[in-house]
Amino acid sequence: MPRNLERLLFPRSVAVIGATPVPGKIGHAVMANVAQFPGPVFAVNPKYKEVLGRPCYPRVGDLPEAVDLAVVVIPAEDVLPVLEECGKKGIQNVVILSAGFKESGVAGALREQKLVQIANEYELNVLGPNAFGLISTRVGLNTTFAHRTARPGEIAFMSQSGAFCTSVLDWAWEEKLGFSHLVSLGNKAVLDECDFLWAFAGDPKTRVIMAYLEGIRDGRRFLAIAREITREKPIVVLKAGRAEAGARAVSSHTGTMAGSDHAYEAAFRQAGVIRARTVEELFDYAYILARQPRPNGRRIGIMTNAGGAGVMATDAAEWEGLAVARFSDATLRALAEKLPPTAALYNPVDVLGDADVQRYREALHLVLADPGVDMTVALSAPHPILRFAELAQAVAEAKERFGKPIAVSFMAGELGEEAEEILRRAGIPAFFDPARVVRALAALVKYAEIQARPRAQPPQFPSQREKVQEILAAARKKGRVRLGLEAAEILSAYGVPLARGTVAHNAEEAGRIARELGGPVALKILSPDLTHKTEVGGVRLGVPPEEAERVAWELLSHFRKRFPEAQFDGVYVQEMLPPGREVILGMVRDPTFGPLLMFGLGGIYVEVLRDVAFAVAPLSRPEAEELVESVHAKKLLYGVRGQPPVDVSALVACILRVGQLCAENPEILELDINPILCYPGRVVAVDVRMTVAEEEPCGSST
Amino acid sequence: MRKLYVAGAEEKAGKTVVILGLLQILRARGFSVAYRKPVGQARAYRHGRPADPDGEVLAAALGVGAAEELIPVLSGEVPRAWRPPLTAWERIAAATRVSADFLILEGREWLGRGLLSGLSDPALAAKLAAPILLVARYGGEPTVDRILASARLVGTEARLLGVVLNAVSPEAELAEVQTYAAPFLEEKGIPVLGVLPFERRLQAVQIQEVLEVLGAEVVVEGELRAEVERVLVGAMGAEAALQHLRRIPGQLLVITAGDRTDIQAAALAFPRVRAVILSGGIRPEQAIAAQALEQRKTLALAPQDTFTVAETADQLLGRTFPPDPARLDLLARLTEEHVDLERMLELLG
Repeated sequence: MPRNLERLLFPRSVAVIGATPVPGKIGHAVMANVAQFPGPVFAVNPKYKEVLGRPCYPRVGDLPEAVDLAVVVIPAEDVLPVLEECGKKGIQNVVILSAGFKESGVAGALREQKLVQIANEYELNVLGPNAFGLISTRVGLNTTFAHRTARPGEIAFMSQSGAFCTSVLDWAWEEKLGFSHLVSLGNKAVLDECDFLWAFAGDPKTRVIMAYLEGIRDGRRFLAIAREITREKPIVVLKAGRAEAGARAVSSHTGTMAGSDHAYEAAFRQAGVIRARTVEELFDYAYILARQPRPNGRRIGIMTNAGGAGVMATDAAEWEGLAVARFSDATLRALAEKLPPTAALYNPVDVLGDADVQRYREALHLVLADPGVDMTVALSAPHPILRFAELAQAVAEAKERFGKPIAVSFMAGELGEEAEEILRRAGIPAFFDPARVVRALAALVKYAEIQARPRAQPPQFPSQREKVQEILAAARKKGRVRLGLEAAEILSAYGVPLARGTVAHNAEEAGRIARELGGPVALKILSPDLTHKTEVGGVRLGVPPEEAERVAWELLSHFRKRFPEAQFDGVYVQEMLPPGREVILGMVRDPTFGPLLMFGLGGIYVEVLRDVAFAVAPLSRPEAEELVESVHAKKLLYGVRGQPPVDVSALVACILRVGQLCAENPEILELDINPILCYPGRVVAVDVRMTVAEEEPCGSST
Repeated sequence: MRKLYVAGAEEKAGKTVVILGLLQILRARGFSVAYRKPVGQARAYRHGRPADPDGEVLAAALGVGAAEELIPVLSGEVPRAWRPPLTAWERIAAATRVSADFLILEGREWLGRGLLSGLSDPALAAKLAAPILLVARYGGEPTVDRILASARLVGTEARLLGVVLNAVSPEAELAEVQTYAAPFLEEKGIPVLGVLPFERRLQAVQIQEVLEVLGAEVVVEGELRAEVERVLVGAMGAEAALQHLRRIPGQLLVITAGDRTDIQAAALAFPRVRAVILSGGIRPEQAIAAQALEQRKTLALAPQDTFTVAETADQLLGRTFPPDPARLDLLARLTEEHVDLERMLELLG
């Protein structure tokens, strides 16, 4: 159930607990900001009768009403009783700015545990503790101690770092960038990113949700909520802690494991969350998404009065996966008519350095009118006969008239106050670097594509989950965590096609099984302790049936001698499959998002080139198809150099079944199917290994 | 009084385990049982003197006498003198003069130890007129070879009563033992008197013990009496560490450097990790301590470097263990089920 944060973000009355008239104290700075709130504001502090002209009460219980929102700014050791009083008073929303909780060590962590208990008991919406506060511009609320507030706007911003909030507030004021809400999440003891995603999604004045996150508390919930929201509203996230050292920094900061960046990448992609790599991208994307219409496609028209800028923008368009538009004949004819003979007509359109605003405007209109153009970038270098303010006006009007996205790069030291104001009012991003402008436009395309994605649920294949659970329980009872043979049975129970094979406990048995299978066989030493059987010579391929007994004997005796500590369960005798194209499908359970599937083409493609793609299971069919599509070597599956294509739909079905298996059985911690052999008519899993949980699972099936 | 000399075919064969089991089931049958270890190994230092902790374990577990009386001679007593103390035989003789239905004698680290000084297991067993029960940790064909070699070492000097195969994997090795190893040994005249299954719970050590030996400082106190069976030294990337955590079975102790917050966080969040010890005395980040508290796990600080901490923990695992009632019960049950006591008594005469 999503929490209702209406009265947290849009309170009708506010109390500041710990307000003080003494300048220089946080309680004073917060009160001074909250005092700007147009509704009733109260102070709570036993030392005063009045603070900054507002009535002050000794205790929360003495307040004349149960305010919608309490802001707590008192020492950590006093917070718990006050929170309890808030609960008793019937105050439902509390922002706790006080530090001295989990972030401060063991004593603080204990205090935070109690805080959560109280919050749960009274069903309180608690933001923080250790939060910088929240700002809601529409109701004129600022519960922070910042010396500046935010300008009104359409972007809701939440941040796991309070300090980053302060910086953003400061910078955005100078940039005249506005926000609908600004929320510092603090320790996320009660309310976390998911709660605010919901709340921002429900606010009609918020057009874009922007977040700085170091971790996500409940990955599955985030995935489900974000998937829903991004159909209507873009979410842009800067997730820090990508690299190994960065991940370590996150652990130092939060005490939790960062989780694999592959998992974040995959989950964000599947949820339709746009990921920003830098602060610059975060703001560029949020701004353009808030202020510009959605493009119909990815074709860009490039307008310039300087050849160099046009070339740079063209390069950037290609890097960002945009298509450089091809103009219609009518457009080209019209351009030829309007522009001097030396002007470049084909995309990019170069109106030449001596162009005045009129010439630029006419050409811009022609380009935007072309049905083959989905968006435009307008570039300009400084020129004596061209005033940026006038050009900005022309661009702003064109945006209004054609309803297509447009962004500018006026490559100059200064555009002038007037030009900047015109562009700002029209919601047109303007950067010096043409590549940066194009990248921002590409974010629009990305979001349009996210919105256009088909809505699909993961398919449910018939499966024998009970059987899998039995196998897992048996392994648990024996204290085994690495499964080989049982893993094959588990795959079978979910309908994953497997190569035929049987276990031989000794050499004679191996010979008999090989003769029964008929044709050459593969012999594999069975040991949960050896992870790379092939590398140590534990796999013999293409063994004729009459040789199987001898080879099995060699394998067993050789390995017992070589690895006296390892456990050997016998030899696996498997039908020898004809050569096919090899793919690898793996899974590791990510601490944040759960089962993370990895797909790639076997052999060097995975091991050397790291050509792999990731997705969080369970997958919908389009997601499984995208997983296969995402690897560079996919062309090999479709057939190159005269090879027939393999059965990709069978491969997709296999991936979907494995995804379902992993999602429904949380005991499976790691899975490695290597290889799956792909043929024109079918796919077959040849070798599989699993790591399973030794303890009873405590979570649900997801 | 019947005597039994329990010797190991190799180091850490599991003599103590077998003795603790036998002691209990013999007592359960109404016999009085005494225990002595003629030559101990000075592995620890207690009350200003070298000591063999095995004696303490037995003394505490079963009330078989004070630790000092149980072990008359210590091998490390006279450093580097390749001779036993002149009084060794007298002390051994005095210590083994007991009255009970059974006297169980524990051998040295392994059967051949002490050949140089003349205090080897066969020599001791001969002198004390006690038949040898050999304990061998099973590991396939090499173990059978080792048992045959041990039998030759015993030769005609003493009497080899039989062998107990220890730590046999029920899934992987039991069939092989029953089909090949046991019949073969019997054929060679070596009775197989017991086949004890591998039991991971017997390898465990209490976190508290590890912390005590290291002199570690507890930063966050979880369940200190919780047992760990395996140690993971965290020196790899966080994701690789997580992979190891998943793949090593049992309750785990993680040892890592104080600045490896990524591994610490991964370990604290992993269900089977009971404790995290930070080496090198680097204090943990506050957030990590808070996480340990939240996960109810022990977080401790050891002054030693990672290698030393790991070595220490590793040595504690599977060696001597605290004689808690649950484990003693388990041992008694295992011995009752998997050791052929009747046959052993019959052979003892």
